[in-house]
Amino acid sequence: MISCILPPYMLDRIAENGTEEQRAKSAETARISELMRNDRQAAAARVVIPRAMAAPARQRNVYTANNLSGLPGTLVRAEGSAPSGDLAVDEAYDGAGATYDLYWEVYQRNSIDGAGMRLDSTVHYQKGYDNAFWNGSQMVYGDGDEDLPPSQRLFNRFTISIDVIGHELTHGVTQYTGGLVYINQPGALNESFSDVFGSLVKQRSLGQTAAQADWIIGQGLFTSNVNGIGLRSMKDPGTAYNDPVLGKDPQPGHMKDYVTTTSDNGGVHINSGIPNRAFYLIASELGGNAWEKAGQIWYVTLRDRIRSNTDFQGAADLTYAVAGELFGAGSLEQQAVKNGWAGVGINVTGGGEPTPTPNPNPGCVAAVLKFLGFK
Amino acid sequence: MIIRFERSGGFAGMLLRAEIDVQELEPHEREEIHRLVAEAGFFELPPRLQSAGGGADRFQYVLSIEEPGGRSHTLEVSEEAVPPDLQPLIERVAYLARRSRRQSC
Repeated sequence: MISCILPPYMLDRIAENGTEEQRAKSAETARISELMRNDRQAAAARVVIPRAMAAPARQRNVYTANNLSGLPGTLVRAEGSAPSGDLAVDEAYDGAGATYDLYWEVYQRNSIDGAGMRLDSTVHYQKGYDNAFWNGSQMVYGDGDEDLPPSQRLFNRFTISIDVIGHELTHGVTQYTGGLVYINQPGALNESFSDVFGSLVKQRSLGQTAAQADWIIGQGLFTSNVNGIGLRSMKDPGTAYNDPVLGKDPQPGHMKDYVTTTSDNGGVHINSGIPNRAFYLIASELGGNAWEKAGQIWYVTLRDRIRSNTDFQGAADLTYAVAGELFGAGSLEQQAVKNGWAGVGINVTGGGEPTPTPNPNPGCVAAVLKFLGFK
Repeated sequence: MIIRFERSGGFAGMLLRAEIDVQELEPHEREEIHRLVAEAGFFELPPRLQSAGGGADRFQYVLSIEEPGGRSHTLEVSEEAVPPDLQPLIERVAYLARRSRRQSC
């Protein structure tokens, strides 16, 4: 336990300006402070930080909406219970587990909020619902075009592809960390972080290196009626599908092809192809398992540096700075980050943000700020 | 009655668009649409319904209905802001749009 004094105004400041995760933690800290004050009649606010939290464990609930719109619906499978025999339920359960494991085992993040939040998923949402989404507190999956005759169906159930599950859960992580607004470049970055970690969940579950991975988002989502391998290609944006009914994959893989549009919140699912490809290029240059080095750089950047309005240039500069902090200035890893962004037409500026000088005597305030996720 | 429907966003980020001439539908489908339009109070809805709710990968809809008598209305609505009374109409029109995209090919 760290026990020390923190000025209350600082907690207020965090409550006003912090990310959702920081606010949640500061609220908890303030609550503990109050308990401590009552206990010891201390004049100043006293802050207690649990250094060793309860052993992290997966907590998953999977519900069915019974093809209606109510959320979360009826609980079908809770943590630890046997497979239900309902394919969508069991895929949602297993996919949430694999995603939890990536975040915990590789990045030491305990669930969406970093504090063990239960992972709630609802399947069989509405009828003919060819979509999956994050509603701000849970994951939701439709069954595709199950209500059309087989010859007319374009989409299968959305739990069929494990990266879709990692994608939706990562929207939760982004909400609790960088908080990227869902419009234009920050929105496309929000989408891209979801594709990146969704793909990493898939690659890790298959034991694939960057070179072995297909870098396809949503493989298996299309029925055999569609000419396409998936919804998006991180490796080669714009080539995932080309179909007489659905048209051609519209994603750009370079800034020169950036799409300006008002639809889709300013093309958040379109221009995400640019940062997606940057990540692919970096992971490929580094080789080995993409979730290790490239994933670590992306995760730390999302957790500590991304802000709600960060744009592509900002993300490039921040990932470059983080790569320097994690692996050393001028390291191969930092060079790969620079090359990857250059490959999509974005040149990192300067040395990124200056590396913070380490405090030789980190006191209470530094420890609390670190706990809250501030650098 | 002519219905123009546009759905954008969603995980796939694809545009689904359809123009439906309700008179050309099967009688039972036609009656259902007329009933759902009435139950939604569609012509009394504001032109824009948005929600401050968070989330990601939601759909955005533009629904436009033109009656033979001249009454017409266009509604832009984000999925999380769809009122419960409107939901059945949106689902039905999306079904007709998904069905027609394969048939029209």
